[in-house]
Amino acid sequence: MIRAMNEIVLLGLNHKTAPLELREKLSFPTEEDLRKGLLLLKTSPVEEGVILSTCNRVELYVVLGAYTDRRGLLEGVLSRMKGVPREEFSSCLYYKEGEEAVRHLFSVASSLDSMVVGEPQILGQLKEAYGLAKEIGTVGFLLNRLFQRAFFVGKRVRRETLIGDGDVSVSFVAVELAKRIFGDLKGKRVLVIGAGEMCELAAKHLKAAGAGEIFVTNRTWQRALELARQIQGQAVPFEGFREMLKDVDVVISSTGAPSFILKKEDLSRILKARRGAPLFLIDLAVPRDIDPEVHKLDDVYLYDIDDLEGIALENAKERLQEASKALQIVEEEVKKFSDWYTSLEVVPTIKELKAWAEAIRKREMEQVPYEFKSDPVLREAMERLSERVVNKLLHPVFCFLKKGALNGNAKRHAELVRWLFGLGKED
Amino acid sequence: MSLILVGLFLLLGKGEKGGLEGVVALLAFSFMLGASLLPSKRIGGEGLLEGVWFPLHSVSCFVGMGGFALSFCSSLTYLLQDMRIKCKKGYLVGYPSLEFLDRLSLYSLGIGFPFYTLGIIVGAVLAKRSIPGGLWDDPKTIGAGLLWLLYAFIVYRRFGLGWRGRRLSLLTVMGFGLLMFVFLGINLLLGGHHAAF
Repeated sequence: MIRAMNEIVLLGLNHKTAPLELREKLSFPTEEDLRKGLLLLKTSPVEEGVILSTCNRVELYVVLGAYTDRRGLLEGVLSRMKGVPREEFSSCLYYKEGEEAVRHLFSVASSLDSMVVGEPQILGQLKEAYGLAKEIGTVGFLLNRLFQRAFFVGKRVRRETLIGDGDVSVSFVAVELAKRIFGDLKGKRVLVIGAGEMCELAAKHLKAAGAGEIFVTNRTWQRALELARQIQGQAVPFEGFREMLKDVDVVISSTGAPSFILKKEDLSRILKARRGAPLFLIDLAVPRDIDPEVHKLDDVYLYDIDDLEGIALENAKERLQEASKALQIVEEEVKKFSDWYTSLEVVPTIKELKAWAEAIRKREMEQVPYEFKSDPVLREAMERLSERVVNKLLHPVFCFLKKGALNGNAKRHAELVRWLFGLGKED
Repeated sequence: MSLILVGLFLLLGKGEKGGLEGVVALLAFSFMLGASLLPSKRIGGEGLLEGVWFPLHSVSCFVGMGGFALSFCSSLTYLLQDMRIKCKKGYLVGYPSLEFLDRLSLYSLGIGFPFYTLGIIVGAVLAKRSIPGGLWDDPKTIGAGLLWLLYAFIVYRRFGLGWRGRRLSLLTVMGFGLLMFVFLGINLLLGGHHAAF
């Protein structure tokens, strides 16, 4: 009756514990392999199971009853799945149960356990592994809840820390800065000068962040057309681009020009026409395209490649701190899951108690004289009254049980209540 | 006035806030502190405070100034944020965007200015009717007129010409400086009809 959380078990290996050759041998590279593995899992003593297999890890998350050598049992299952003798991989495995296993899964989902901390793919891979197991039918009540929580934790970590800003690239920083100026980038107009790879990347990032129209200009008309097609922008002639500065919001520049193509005079001339609307200039060229003096103009913000790289570097340092924040979140969530788990222990008791009380109430209602019962209004009132009394009387007991579930005394509190009310067959 | 400021902020400042609440809260707090510390006395003039005109005068002046206060907060934050971006340090995640601050400033002026204008007109009518000779030489009346001119200029540039950005924010901040002087400085230093508040 009383369950123990250590029925949740994890057996696995990752890039830290096992060499690549071994990971290759034990991995499930195709969906077909995974299906076979899961089907085999179904015939084993394992109650529920999910297999996670990525290039950096192979992990079995299972629900397993009280057997004497559970680790040995699972290793045997894995060995049979992959046809690799146990001795070959046993020393490279980690085995965790209960809270430890939950913590591990939550860290994996938050990408804290990844080779590149903060990389975004793992959550998707986890979802696929779960989806397949669900399809085969090896996911039950417990793993279902556990994995749903894991997805939630992964998203929460991404939302509340900067760990997901894994891409500490220059164009990422540029987009972040643009957001600090314009809020969301919806409907913002972007002018791309030059057609290098850097421009393309930055423009794509801006577009992904919601930027509106994108104009592309280049000394060579053909290349302008090409890039415009790639990023679904619009090519404009190079001669007139200074006029366009009047009504764009972001300018990305990366030409091969040997000297400044945009000087302070060019901009101060058009500033009046902009009526104080902020202009964000991103100079990705070396040597630079835009005269650094323009940064001194009102409402004009110029960042060159060095500025952006400096911030990106600063960011990489910050990400380490973010990881510790993420760890805290994982801890919190492990605690929550474990609370939920313990509360399961008192649920049957609560149900039984309710049924017991309801039976008494019904019985007593039967005893009410017929002349009262026959009046539907009166009867209804009596029903409600008796229900209310029962609920009010039982409420403190339920609170007691739930409190027990939260401070780790679930079992004791449940037993006490059962004994007090004479519930269950054993009394 | 604190209430109006905070109310307007909650009404208009939906969405991103980060960093702005601090300025708003500080200003609201100092208004309340000021209100409780400054000397209070009743003003004279028989029959002056009766009827609907006087409450209309003071309430619309206060709503107007609440709007100006909020535009001051957002413009000040705009200037700070502008400085941060110009300094080229870091990501600045969690700070409100320039565009949002600019919009907030615009909206709060849009609400504040009509109310303030109404307040002044009612005040003028009131003074003409109940005080012989009017209050044309009262220092606060003159200050309020100057203030109206300054804000009218700001509002004209913002709404009429569609300007925005750093300079206008600077002007808005300075406008509020003048407001504080007219509102408090004249009371404390020069006296006159409005001396009590």
